[in-house]
Amino acid sequence: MKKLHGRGLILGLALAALLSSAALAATEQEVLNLIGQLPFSTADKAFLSTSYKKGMDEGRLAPDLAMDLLQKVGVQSNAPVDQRRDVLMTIGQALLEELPVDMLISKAEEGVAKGVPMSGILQEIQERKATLEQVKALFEQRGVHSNLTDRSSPYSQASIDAAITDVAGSLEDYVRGGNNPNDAPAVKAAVLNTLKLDGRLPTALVSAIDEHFSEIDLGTIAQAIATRIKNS
Amino acid sequence: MPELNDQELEDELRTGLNRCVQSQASRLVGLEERVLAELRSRHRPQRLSAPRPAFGLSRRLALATVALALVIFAGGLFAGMQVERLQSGLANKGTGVQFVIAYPEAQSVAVAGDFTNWDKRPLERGPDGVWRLWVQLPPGRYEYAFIVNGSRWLPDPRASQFVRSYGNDLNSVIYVGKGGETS
Repeated sequence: MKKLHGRGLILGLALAALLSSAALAATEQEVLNLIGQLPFSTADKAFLSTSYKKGMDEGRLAPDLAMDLLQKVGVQSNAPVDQRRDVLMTIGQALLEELPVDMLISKAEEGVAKGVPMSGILQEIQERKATLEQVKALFEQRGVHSNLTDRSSPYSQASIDAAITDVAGSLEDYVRGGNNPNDAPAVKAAVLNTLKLDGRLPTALVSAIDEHFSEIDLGTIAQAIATRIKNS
Repeated sequence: MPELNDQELEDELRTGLNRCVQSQASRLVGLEERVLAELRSRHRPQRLSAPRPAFGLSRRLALATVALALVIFAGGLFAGMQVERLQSGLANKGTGVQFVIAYPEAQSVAVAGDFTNWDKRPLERGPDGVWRLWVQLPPGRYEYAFIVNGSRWLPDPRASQFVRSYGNDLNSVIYVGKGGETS
């Protein structure tokens, strides 16, 4: 009789867990199914599937956000197919490089909403991706890691990703706002102002960035942004 | 055999009974003790067994009911957690932010930004010609703009920060802090 009690309990809980996991898997699968329907080559769709799945599995890309992006850029847009593909693949490449992509997706959707030509959207997100790469490299060089990379770190991957996004975004805003990229103290002040106002970031993380990132570190990236914009 | 009257019959019965009792008298010795011992040997303490099904249900039916209740409970718990996760962008731990713009002559005003995936969300016009919308925002940084009459993009004149986007466009920026403060 005791065995019957135990088996009934285990069966009930296993059934509940199976139903729940099935619901979660369906959303990611919907994203992959939609990628499969896009008017791109087999190789391009395979790349998108691999990169977007990696992003979803690592928590950098929410399935509902992926669906929204794929619908707006891949399905509903009347822009040339190769430009739509390039926008989606730029974001896919960023996911493969383990970059936070919220800023790139937001800029792509903003561009679609405002009727910006897809070529302009592509240029915008390629420039911002380059900034994200430089900022991520700076985090690694200065030893500001997540607890996935460094078990002794108190910072979650989500916090580090938010910090990388804020640093890159504030540098872009500073330079695109017509401010002087050679004024390194002003560059760092602008970055810290954003970090302190963003409620997602732990205070200790903001302090660590202030301590480890020099004015020259951030000024160098600001100058690179200015160069990219000038050459575009 | 001569017939006995009632009294004689009663006497004969009493005599016969006494003779039987006398003949078995030895067997009566210690009878009380033997009966008590027998009763004690039959009254053994019983092990506690599983509780009896309530309300007269069979044990198997009760087990099935408990298992079903656990499945429903666990399933509901998981489903609730997933719904909460999906709604977290708007409802969880967020701050109510009111987007306001005075534009009495507008036919429609909407807001779009990071928190709407840049989809247009309509504001409501008050009798004073001021357009308003409440949105729940978790901590973070958000860019946004108003759209007047479906096509004219405007920054929020009340915003504390503006950023350039796509050339000459201006977006407004709002920050939501850890404690729900906005700036």
